[in-house]
Amino acid sequence: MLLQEREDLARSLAVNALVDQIHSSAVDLLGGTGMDRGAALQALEEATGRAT
Amino acid sequence: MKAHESSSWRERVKARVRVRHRLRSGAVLLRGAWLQILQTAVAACGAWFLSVLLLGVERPTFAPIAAVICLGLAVGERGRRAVELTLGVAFGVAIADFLGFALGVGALQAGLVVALAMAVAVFLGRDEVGVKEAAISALIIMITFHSPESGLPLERFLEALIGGGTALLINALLPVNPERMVEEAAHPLFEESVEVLGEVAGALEDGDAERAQSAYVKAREIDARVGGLKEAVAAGRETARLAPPRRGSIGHLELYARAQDQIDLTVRDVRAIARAALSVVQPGDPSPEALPSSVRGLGGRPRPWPPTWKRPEIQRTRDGSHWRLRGRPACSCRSAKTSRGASPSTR
Repeated sequence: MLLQEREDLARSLAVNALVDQIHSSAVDLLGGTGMDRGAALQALEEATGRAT
Repeated sequence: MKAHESSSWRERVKARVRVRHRLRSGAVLLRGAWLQILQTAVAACGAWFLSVLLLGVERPTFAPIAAVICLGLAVGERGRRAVELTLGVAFGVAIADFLGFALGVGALQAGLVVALAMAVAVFLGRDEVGVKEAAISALIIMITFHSPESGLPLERFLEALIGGGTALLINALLPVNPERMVEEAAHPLFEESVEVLGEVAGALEDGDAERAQSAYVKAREIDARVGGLKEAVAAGRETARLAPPRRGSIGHLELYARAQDQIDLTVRDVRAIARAALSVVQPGDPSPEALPSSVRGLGGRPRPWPPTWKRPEIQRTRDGSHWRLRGRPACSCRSAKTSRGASPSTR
């Protein structure tokens, strides 16, 4: 039971890490279009509804 | 009987279509390579004439060969490196001559010279083609070696210098297309990055750990090739600056120069995503639905960039001191030469 809980926790941490990486890659891509970082973060928030 | 005739008629049509297709693709290949063919022919011809003129030899054997070898090595290299390569070829000839003089010519010696040339090429970091080229050049030197009656001749060393010098001159007068060189280095980075993101998304959907691992390996390979893009941009800018026929490419190449760090960052991001996906993918257990589509969504962004870069709408200002986007004011910074809005993806 405990082992199962740990595995679930590890997976959810890994998923979080991947989501964070996707998020920061999207910010980098927007930055590449000439947007500054603040504007890129805001645009991404507006698109996803996710608080940064 | 009729069926047999019809099938033979179909075969004939197919063969005709194949021949026509082959001729057309040959013509396309020829159109892409004509400048290189012209460069090499002019370099060989010029090296021959210069050797006759400067060294007074009747039939220069090695100057045209050295010109062809140097041209093959120096195309797309930056000026200083191209000079280094030419000197390397000349000294390589001298060393090979010395070996021929000391050890003679034969099967074992040929093997030794090829091994030495390939080892030096690998040591200097040449790619696979460069290493094979070095081996072939070494064999040519060995085959054309004639045992001198008295001492070690300097003639072939001087011929190699003349041939190499001619090749450098031709490279500056009839340069390769620097834009194409940079495009060929940049476009695979985009295409393969998109491919890796697609692979990662597929692995996340299917819970395929093997596919995720293979995507990560591919991502690392792309990352290793970003250095090649930076080299190509530097070499392309130098070619465009030094060679009058290619000056018109400077503006286009500036776009790549300004974007290369961003491209580097994008490739690193792709590798980081592939790395992070390794911990998420579990055999037979698909990931949350939003993850693969988000990864694919990122892959969709770079696709429109390269076609936009192929036709940059930039032009020089009237006094020729700045570059600007068509219909926009020129950049106020002289060193940047392109306006901030010239970033290709802003349009």
